[in-house]
Amino acid sequence: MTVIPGTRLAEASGLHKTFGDIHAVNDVSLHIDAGETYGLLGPNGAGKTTTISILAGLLEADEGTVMVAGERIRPRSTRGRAAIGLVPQDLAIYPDLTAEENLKFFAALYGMSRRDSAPRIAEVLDVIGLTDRRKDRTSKYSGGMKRRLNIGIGLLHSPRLLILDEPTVGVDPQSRNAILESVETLSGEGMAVLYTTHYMEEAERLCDRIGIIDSGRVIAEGTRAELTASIGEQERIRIEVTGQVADAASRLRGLDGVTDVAAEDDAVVVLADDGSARLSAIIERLAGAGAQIGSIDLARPDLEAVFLHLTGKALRE
Amino acid sequence: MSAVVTITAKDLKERLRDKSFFLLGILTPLVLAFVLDLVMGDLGEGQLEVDIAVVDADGSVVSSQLRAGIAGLDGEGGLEVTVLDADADPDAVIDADGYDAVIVIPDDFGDRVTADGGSAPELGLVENPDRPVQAGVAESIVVGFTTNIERARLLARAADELGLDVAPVPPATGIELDRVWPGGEGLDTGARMMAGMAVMFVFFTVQFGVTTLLDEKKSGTLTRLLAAPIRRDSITAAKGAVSFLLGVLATMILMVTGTLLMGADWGPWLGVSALVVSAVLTAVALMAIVAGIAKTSEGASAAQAIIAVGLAMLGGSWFPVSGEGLMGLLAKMTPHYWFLNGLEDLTDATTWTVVGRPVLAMAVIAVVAGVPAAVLLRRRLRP
Ligand SMILES: Nc1ncnc2c1ncn2[C@@H]1O[C@H](COP(=O)(O)OP(=O)(O)OP(=O)(O)O)[C@@H](O)[C@H]1O
Ligand SMILES: [Mg+2]
Repeated sequence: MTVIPGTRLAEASGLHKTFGDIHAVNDVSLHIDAGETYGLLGPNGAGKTTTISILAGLLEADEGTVMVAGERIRPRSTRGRAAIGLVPQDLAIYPDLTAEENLKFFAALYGMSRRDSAPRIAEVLDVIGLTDRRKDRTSKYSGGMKRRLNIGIGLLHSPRLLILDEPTVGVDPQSRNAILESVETLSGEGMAVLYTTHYMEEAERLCDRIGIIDSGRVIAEGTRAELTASIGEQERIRIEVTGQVADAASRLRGLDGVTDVAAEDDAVVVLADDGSARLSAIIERLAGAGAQIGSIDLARPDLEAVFLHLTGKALRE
Repeated sequence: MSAVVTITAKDLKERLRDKSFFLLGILTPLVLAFVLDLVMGDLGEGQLEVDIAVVDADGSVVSSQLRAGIAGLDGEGGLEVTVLDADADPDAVIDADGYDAVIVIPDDFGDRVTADGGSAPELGLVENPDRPVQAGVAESIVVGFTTNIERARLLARAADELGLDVAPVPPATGIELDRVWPGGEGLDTGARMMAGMAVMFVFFTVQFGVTTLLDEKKSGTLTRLLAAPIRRDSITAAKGAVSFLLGVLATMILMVTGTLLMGADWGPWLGVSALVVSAVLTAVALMAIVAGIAKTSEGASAAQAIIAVGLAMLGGSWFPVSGEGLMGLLAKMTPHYWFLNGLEDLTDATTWTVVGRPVLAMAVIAVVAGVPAAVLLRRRLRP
């Protein structure tokens, strides 16, 4: 694989997709260069998986086009498919086959000869740490092992664009770190990566550029620095609260210096200019509303703050 | 094409590794065939045994000739004929001795035969209500004899009018026992049960192919298949191929087991293969429709089980059916009917081509079901 960093590898323009009344993808355009990791960050139901499904040629877009490695991607055509490696959000492995058999099958499906695939399979098994267990049926694997194999299958044919749809959901911290490290390695080798997540930390750590997606729209896009700069010098304050969270949150709206307020399950998230100075006023209000206050977390501007600022919602609600 | 082979090989590996293919596809039909053969074994070894009695109430020269003619059938084609006393009561002897039917030669029989003109001579038949099939055989014998006698009588009269001297035709000429077993006489009970179970269970076996499209959906692997650089048609084609191969494998194993363990003689193997291949094709097409409609593989299995058993009953897997009436029409819409009838014809045949008609009938069913099946399965190809 020869990769010239910086060449445009994938480009989606003006994608639309509706399911009945739901406008799941609403005018999404994005591009990814070779060697670049692009993050699609958004809450549940934002349209990440639908966007990815269109990019990978699984779904037909109602409108818009996708080009990958110079080929138009469409469900009815096989063109350009070999350039894409997909790691679906839901596990996609055969439970009655071993890891090795799973990999052999998909290698054959991607047109790799036995001679080429044998060393590559050994390599992938090593990367995902399943060499010792390669002859066991995957139904006997732990959740983390299954996830790692799920990723391994996507890498197998050395795609030029690797699409990972929330690969770390339901994974223990150790496996999660291993997954993030291998994505970093692959990206370093020149692979273009499209990574969706609703974990802000993952997007911040991995991605060169990030698109923030909500209700089918990419509402902001840029590097982490560009995105956080857009909200100025505000600070994000997260306060754990028990009791009437929504009620407590509503009391904070309109408080001097507070620009955005959102309620999570058990916390209130506030965006405020010069947050540290406002903290006592905020706590006073919350206590006045009868809320029990737990831990308080004050952070420099981050992607979560950007999301809150743009949507008025918390990323995980 | 290579994608079809790759997916087919993967599926076969998965299925053959799984015990349920052997359990449902081979062991269960085998055991059932044995059990049913034991239970229904008294239907006869290869031929229907029919026990008939004759009562000659006339005692004339003509009637004794006829009586001798009927008695002469004793020992032929599974028939047993007993001549009773002239005053025996047919109903009483059926009750007491269990005859399948009693043929009664009425006391005016001789006079009627020799009379000039008048109505045709008749024979009485008292049937055992518990043995309708066997009584039917007796009935066909009676019809055969009366037709012959009437023909002879008309011939004699015509000759008489022309002034010719013709020797009377002996009554027993040209009687054929054509009604022995509705559905044919070729296979013995064990072989028939074996074939019936084989064609019934192939409907279960083919599930292990087409229905796995729903399993691929459940395991998420369908997404990967759809993302791979292969034509979408190769996915459904592979599923059909897996069904077909498993179906043929299981059915051929059962047919061979039938010859080895039950001494079944199917006739030319080329004909057997043609019947098996076409029956499996129809099963694949019919079950693919279910797989194309069902929401989950559990739902598909339940629906397929109902259809498999229902069609088997209609088509004669459990008990023989005739091809007549509404039930006959329904039977002819099942591959089971044609498969079994094809085998019945084949066992006595010298050439395998006698299966042409059943094979053609099954091909029609396969195409009629196969087209909607392909459309429905294709609609399943969604991430
Ligand atoms: N096949 C479908 N039929 C109907 N609605 C769908 C379908 N697929 C997705 N949707 C809807 O489209 C919207 C976007 O869904 P999508 O799966 O793309 O979100 P997501 O960002 O991947 O969410 P998550 O983080 O939960 O995976 C949701 O409202 C979802 O209910
Ligand atoms: Mg998703």
